[in-house]
Amino acid sequence: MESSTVPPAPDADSHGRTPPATRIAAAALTGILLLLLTVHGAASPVTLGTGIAFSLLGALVTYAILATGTVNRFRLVLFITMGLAFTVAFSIEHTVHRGSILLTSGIISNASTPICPIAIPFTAVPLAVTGKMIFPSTVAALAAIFFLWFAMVLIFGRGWCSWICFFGWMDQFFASLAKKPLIRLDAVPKWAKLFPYALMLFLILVGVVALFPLYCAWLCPLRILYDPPQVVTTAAWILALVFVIGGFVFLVAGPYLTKKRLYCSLICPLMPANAIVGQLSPFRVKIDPERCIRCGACVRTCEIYAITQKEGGVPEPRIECMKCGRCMDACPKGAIDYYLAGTMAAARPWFVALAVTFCTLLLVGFVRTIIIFALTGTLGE
Amino acid sequence: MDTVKIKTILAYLYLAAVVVIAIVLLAKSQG
Repeated sequence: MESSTVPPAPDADSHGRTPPATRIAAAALTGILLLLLTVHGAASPVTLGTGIAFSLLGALVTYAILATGTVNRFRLVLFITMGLAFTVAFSIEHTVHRGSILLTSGIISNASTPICPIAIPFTAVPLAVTGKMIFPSTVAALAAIFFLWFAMVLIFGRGWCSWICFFGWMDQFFASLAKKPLIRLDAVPKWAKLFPYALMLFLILVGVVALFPLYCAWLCPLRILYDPPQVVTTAAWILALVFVIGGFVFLVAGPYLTKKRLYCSLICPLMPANAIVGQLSPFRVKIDPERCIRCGACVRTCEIYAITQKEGGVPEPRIECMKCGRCMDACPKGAIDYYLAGTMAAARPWFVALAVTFCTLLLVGFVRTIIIFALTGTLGE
Repeated sequence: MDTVKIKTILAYLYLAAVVVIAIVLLAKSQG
């Protein structure tokens, strides 16, 4: 946890707006990085066109965030759009490869199930310990998703969950729909916050001992939308019911009623890995005690219970902070900002430029899949 | 040069290193 004795961010005014020269430089950095990453070796008009268009879009989003001083509003649009594009692209790939989005026993036995980042802790550890791949996929596929996850958590820490995770859009979307929470759930017991840690350790243990991906097979509520089971047996019907009820409670109704990201904060077994490995990230969210008026707005508005406040004290972000910027927008005194870890250097332009770049980079990839499929009916150009 | 300045410079260097490492890892993840 970071010390709360930090000075005011020198590069931003009290509303989080950065100076024009800084915001132009950050927008240019976003655009140039995106151009380099998306247009490099462009072989077709679709690659070139989407690369240029989304580089401009990324630069515009960075500029808008830094010019208005509101991070979360623009992040929500970009993040949810990216997640929706992923869902469409993922379903298209399933339809092309499998004939439908249903996960059948034949696909599982062929070890051709797409592996998701949530499975990394309880598949990578058993692989390292026993040498056996317990998920019905390849070691190469696990390595690819591991590199993507590790790269992003290295930069953003738990910012993964609010800027990069292509599954996180769902409870984020429903948590953002209502203007005010219909059920107030501003605090949860400590054991509930620690539950994902216990779940991750339990799933790793089951993976190592029983060589079985328990969470993916029986528990993951995301399977309401991704990899639903083919319902041909009673067991598959019960499984489908688990996914539908779990998905509805933690991804749809719960977030809508409480305006909290219930799945991402209280269930996801990747969350603890993000929080722990995320301590390598160069970015931290800090609260300036000189500006803070102890109103508790940041604590109440946090969607993941990641800010704590002692009676009358300055609130403190916990290691689970996902750097979404919602508390920054809610703070009436502009007392919260991004800083470089271990220093007093304000880092909002750097953080925003990089976060928008990599979120947009994923979006480009998903949009390209959709466009190419719409034009050719295939996945390749 | 005081300690605060040295720490800040090191933090910026760390940020640059992390971004480079991340881009290399991303390239690896694409095969």
